[in-house]
Amino acid sequence: MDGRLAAYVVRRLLQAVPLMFVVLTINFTLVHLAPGDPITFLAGDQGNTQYFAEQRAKYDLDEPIAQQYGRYLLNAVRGDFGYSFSYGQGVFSIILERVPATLLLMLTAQALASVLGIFGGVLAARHRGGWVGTFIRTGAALGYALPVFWVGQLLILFFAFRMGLFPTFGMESPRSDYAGLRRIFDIAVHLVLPAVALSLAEVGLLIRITDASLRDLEGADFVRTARAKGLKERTVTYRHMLRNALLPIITVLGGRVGTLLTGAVLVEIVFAWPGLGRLLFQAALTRDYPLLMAMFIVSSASVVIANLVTDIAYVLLDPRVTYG
Amino acid sequence: MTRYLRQPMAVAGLALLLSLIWVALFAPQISSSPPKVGNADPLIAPSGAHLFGTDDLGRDTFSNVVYGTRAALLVGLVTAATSLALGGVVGIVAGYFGGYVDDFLMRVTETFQLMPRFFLALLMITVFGSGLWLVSLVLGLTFWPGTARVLRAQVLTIRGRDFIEAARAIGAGHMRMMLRHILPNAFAPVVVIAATQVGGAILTEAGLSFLGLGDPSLVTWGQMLNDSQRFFRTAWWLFVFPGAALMVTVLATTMIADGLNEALRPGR
Repeated sequence: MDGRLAAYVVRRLLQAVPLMFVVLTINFTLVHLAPGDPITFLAGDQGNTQYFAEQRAKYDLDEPIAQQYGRYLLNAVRGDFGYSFSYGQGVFSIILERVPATLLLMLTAQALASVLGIFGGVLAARHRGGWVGTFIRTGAALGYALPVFWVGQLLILFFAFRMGLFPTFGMESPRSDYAGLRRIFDIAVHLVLPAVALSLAEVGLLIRITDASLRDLEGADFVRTARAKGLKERTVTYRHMLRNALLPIITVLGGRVGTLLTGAVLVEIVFAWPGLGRLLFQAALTRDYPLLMAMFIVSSASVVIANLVTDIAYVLLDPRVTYG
Repeated sequence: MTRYLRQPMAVAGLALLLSLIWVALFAPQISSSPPKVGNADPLIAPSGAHLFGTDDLGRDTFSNVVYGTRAALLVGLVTAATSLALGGVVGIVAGYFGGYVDDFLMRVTETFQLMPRFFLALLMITVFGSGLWLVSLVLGLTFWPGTARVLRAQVLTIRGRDFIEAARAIGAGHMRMMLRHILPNAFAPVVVIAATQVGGAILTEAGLSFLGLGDPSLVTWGQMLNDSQRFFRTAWWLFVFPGAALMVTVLATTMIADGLNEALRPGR
């Protein structure tokens, strides 16, 4: 990495500080603003007097509020986001354990959506006015309006129950001890339906964005020049127009990480996928506040990172964009 | 207006939304039983008597879907209104005053824009309870940055025009400038984003309800989808109909937003 890019990354990371500060402050405020004793939010409502006394001391709850706040921020900077009372573990390690499964689902869905969405968008743009274009555009609006978890339920109904093509839940076959390729295949088979469910809305959105960006380029001089050179329409679309349309597409993709994570969480619940979704579901049921607050922090951080990656991609892809 | 009405999809979207509003208003007349009241046999498949079947407690699914329209539209509209109010003030002030005010307000806007709304709303609900109004307000707090940015961009294009200069010359104050002269001319694109926010808010609330965090005093489609999970293999009608209602509602808002966007495109 050259020095200027490194400096840029550092500067952008510093810009994320206000957001993380606001997020932590919201968490802290909620605990103290909520009806009831703050200790029940931090340590649950199960336990004897001694337990609560220990916990009160641990969180400085008898100290002035400013000191508690300072302690909270300091702990967060050190990576200590609290202790889950239902799991009896630090929340950060619990979340980290579930991240790979969720990431696998998100990345697969995003890859699928990128291919189908960009290709579909190009197709819609090339057949503007015709029935193919209208069909794709209507499908895209429909896909964009679909609740992901409902799509998941429908997919299970048709492709798992009725047709028996795919497993209905989990990431691996229960009580199987597959290894190597066999295991990868097993996971892949389990991944198909959740990934499709999660990707449909993104496909819809990407078709719309690609189509719209291509339309905006329609009158551009370089497009006219390319056509005047006698290039094939296919070459003009893919080599000249799509390259320019990619930047707005990447911006949209980067801004969708929060939505994608939300979708993943919901899809995971439908498919009993062992990621963050089930964790969040349980945490909401048991009112495991430290875990819920940590999920808020982690999701915010992931949005920040995604934005950073998007900006770097922007700089690398478009020579006109400078490290601003 | 005529440019909007010339688009079949946009008109269809508007018609859909008006029908949904009609359903929400006349829910007691349309449904065959009050919401959440079980007075039929459990788990009857769709038939003439129970159009969408019944659930495990003998509640009529059609009636619940009809009543669910109320919660969905309420969430959508209150969220969009909150977002419009907050984002409107921030956007117009930032665009009108420019300079440091603009810099500061845009920093704040960016910060809020990055906040993952689903996770924030989920946290707020578990702490304060899942009243529909609270959910709508929290969602509004996370949707406003979009409104603010669109309005600001629009104000920036208007600020330098002659009629603004003229208004200033005759001594119009800041408030008057913003409300009487700038806002009416900058408002159109904001309506587009408000329409998309209605759909977004409805989907987000449905997701929260699906997690079991819906308002317990109301029927919401997300709750129905959550309840249906246990009868997944046996009673398809319990999740097909509420989900379809959700899809149709969001689709209507998308079609309206597209139509407005198209109608506002310059030079066509």
